[in-house]
Amino acid sequence: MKLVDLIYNKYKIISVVGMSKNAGKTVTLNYLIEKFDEIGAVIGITSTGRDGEKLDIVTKTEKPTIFVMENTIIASAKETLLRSNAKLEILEITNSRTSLGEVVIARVKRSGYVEIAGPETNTQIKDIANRMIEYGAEIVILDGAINRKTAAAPTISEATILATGAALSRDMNNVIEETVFQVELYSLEVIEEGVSKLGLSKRFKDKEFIIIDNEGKSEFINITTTLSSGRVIGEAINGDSKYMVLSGSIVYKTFEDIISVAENYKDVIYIVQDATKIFVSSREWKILKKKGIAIRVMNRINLLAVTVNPYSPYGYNFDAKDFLHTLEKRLPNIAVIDVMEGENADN
Amino acid sequence: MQIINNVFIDERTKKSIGLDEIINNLPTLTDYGNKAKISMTPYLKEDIKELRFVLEDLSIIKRFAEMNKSKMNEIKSALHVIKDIHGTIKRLQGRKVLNEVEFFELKCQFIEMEKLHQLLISTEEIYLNRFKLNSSKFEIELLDPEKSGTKTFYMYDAFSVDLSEIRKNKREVEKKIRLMKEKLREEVFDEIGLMPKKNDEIRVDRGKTSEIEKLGKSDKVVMSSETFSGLVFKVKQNNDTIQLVNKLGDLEIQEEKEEFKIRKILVEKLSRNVEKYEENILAVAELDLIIAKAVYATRISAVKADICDDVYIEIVKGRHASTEDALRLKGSEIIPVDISIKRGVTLITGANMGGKTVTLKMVSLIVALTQYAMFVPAQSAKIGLMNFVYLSVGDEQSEKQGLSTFGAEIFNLKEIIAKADEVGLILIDEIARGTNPLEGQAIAKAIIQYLQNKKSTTIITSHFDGLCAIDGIKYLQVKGLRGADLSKMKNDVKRKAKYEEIFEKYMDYRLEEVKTKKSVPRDALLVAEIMGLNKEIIDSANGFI
Repeated sequence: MKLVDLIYNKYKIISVVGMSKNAGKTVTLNYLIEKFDEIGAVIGITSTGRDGEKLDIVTKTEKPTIFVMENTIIASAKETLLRSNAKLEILEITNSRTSLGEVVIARVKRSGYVEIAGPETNTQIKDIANRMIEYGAEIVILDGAINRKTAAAPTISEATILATGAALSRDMNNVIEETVFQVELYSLEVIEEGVSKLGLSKRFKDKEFIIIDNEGKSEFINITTTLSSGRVIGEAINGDSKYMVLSGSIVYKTFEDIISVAENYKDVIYIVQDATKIFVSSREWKILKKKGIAIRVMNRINLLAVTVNPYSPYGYNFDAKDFLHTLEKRLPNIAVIDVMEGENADN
Repeated sequence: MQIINNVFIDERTKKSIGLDEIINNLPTLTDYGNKAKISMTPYLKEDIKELRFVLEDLSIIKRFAEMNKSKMNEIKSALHVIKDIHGTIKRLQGRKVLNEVEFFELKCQFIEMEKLHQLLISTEEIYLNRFKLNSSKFEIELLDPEKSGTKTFYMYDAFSVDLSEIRKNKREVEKKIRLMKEKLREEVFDEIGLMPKKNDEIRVDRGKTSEIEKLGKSDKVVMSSETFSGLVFKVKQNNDTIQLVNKLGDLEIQEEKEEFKIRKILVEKLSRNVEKYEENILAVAELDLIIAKAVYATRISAVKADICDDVYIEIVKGRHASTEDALRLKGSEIIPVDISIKRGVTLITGANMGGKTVTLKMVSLIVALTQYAMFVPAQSAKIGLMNFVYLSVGDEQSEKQGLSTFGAEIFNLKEIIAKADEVGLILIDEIARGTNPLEGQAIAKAIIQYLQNKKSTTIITSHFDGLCAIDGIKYLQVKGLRGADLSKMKNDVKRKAKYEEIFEKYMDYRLEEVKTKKSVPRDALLVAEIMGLNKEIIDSANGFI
C-alpha cells in the first residue's frame, strides 16, 4: 500500500518527525506534498517548535525548502509568510505568538516556496490544526521540530511518520539500530483496560505522580518532575506496589535511582503518558530491559511508516537498496519507504 | 513616597477600598475597551454636567441590556471579534506601504466595524452620540475588489488590469515550461530508457556502467553531482525553455512591482481617512466600556447615584462590594448601612468587630465609583463630587519606609492636613491608635478640631473616650451588640469556635446618630466575655473602670 493510501481518508492530523537533524524530514514532507497533489487532496501544513530550526540556519547545512501547491492551507509566523514567494490569501491571524510574529493561516493561491514556522508550543498546535481543517484541509501535516519528537504525541497528532537517514551516523548499522529502537519505543504496550479507568489522563494532565497498590489504592508522591526525583519515587515502592504513574518526561537516571533504592522495583509497572516522554538511548534501553523494568504507555503512537534517506548532507551516503532492505527486514510490520527514490523504485 | 497632590485617589487607597478590584473585573470585550478601562479618569467637581450625562447614558444601556438580552448578546459578539490593530493604523497614518497581513487586519476590522455599525443603527434607543461609528463601506469595497464578502485578503487580480494581465501571462509561460520539460524528459527516456524524475534528475549506481556510459554520451543530459555510490545527471534544457524561464523571471519581477504599486495606492486612499478610523476605535472603546459597566452594575445590583451640587453624601442601604462577595461565598448576607454626612467631621464609634472599617471603605468606594461614572452598590445614594478621596487605615504598616504603624499614620496625617482645605473626602480609621492612649487621644482631638472647619469632609473612627464631646461634630455609633441575645451568643460560642461567624450573626452593623455627648459604648469587655476570656480577668477589669 502506498504511503498516501495509509493516510488519506483515515487521519486528519499526522506528524512527520525526524530521528535527527537532516535525517530527511523535510524531504519526506515534500514527498507527501507531491503525492497528495497527485491525488488532488487539499493539505494543510504547519510545524511545531521553531526553536530547534534556528540552529539549522546557523549550521548552514542544506535545508530543503517547501514548495506548496495551490489551495494548500499553511500556518506560519507572519515574518516567514511575508518572505515566501508563493501567493497567499490571508485567512486568519491566530492568537499564537512566536518570535517571528503571530502565526497566520493562509491559503496558497499560486504555488511557490515557503518556510514554515508554526506555533512554538504544542498546546496551540492542535487548535491551529483544527482551524486549518475548517478552512478546507483534508489532512494537516505537522512538521515536527528537529530533535524534538513531541509532535508525534497522540495528544497532538493521530498518526506519525518517522524519518531516518544517513545524516544520523556514518555507520549504517548504527542508523538501523537507533531507528529500530525508536520504532520499538513507539510500539510500547498500552496499559490494560482496567488501569486506564483509574482516571489516568487526568493524572497526566495535572502532572501528578501516583503509586497504585494491588488493591487499587493510590497515593501521591510529592514531586514536580522525575528529573532528579528517582530516589523519592523508588522509596515509595513497597511489596504491595503495582503501578507507578510517571507524569512528564523520564530519563535513564530516573530508573537508575529507582533501582538503587527500591527492592521491589521489578514488581512495578511504570506508566508514562506516551513514548515521546521517554528520553533514553538504545544502549540504556537495553540495560533497563535486562534489569526487568517494565514500561507501559497510556497512549500509543500510531506509527504509519518509516521513511529513509540514504544521503547525508555531510557528504557521504549509504547504499540505498541495502539500507532500505535491511530496515525492511528489521521492521516487518512497518512500511519502509525510500523518499529519494520513491515507492516504485524497486518493487 | 507617594504624594497625593492633584491625585483624585492614590493606588493604595484604590486597592484598600476595593475600587481596583471592581475596575479590573469590568468585563470589557476588546483590547480597545481594556485600554479605556485602565486609563479611566474620574470626573471632578468641574465635570459635574458631563458626569450626569454619562451616568444617564449608563442607565439607558443598563436598562436595554436587561430588557433585550439577545440583542445585547449580538452587540457583544460583534464587539468581541474586534482586534486591536492600532499598530497598523499608525503605520497607515505614516503612509507606510503595508503588507498583505496588515491589509488583512484592516479589512477584517472594517468589516467588523461595519457589522457593529449596522447593528447599532437597528437599535436606535442605545445608539448614543458618544459612540456613533463612521461607515466603513468605502474601505470594504476598496479592499474587496472581487466582492467576495469574506474576511480574507489577497492581492486580488481585480486590483488592476495590469496585474491580472501579468498573472495570465505568467500562467501561460509556466504551462509552456512544464510541457516543454515533460517533452525533454520523454526524449531522454526514448534515447536512454531511464525516466528522469520531476526535478529532472536521474540517479544511477556506479555499478551500472552501461547506463552511465549512455548518459555520458547523450547530449540531452549533463552530470550534476557524484557520490560514493552513484552519479546524478540532469536533463539539459534547450534554448526555448531557458528563454521561457527567463521570461517567467521577468514576469515575476513585474508582478512584484505591480503589487507594490497597488499596495501604495491602497495606502494612499486609506490614509486619507485615518482620523475616521481613530474615531471608530474610540467609539468602540467607549461602547465596550459602558456595556461592561452596565453588565457589572446588574451583576452587583448597583444603582445610579444622584449627583448633588453641594458637598453632601447620603447613602441608603450601602454595601461594600468585595465584603459582600466574601460573605456570600460563606453563605451569609451583608447588612446594608445607611449614612449621611456633611462637610466637617463625622465620628464613628462602636464595638470591636462592629464593621466601622468596612463602613469607611463602603462610603469611599461609593463616592469613587460615582466619580468614575459607575453605578454604586446601594439602594440609593446622593453624592456631592469630591476632588480627592483619601483613606488612612490605622493598622497599616509601612515597611518600605521603615515606619511603624504610628509612623505610617503620622505620614498619612501630614498629607491629609496639607489637603484639608480642598473639597475632598478624608477617611481616618482608628485615629492615633498606634501609640499610648493619653497622647493618642490628644493628637486625635487636635486633628478633629483642625479639620472641623475646613472645606474637606472627614469621617473618623475611634475607640477613644472624649472625642465625641467635641462641639460641632456629627457623632455616629454602631448599634453593635446592644440588641443581641447574649446568652444565645455564649451558647453558640460553646458549640462552635468560629467567632467571626457568630459576631456576623449577632452584630448590628447599622449606625445611629447620637445627640447627647455621652461616652463611647463599653463593648470591649463584652466582646472579650463572649469570646470566653477568663472570668476572673473580666471581673477584675470591670473593677478598674
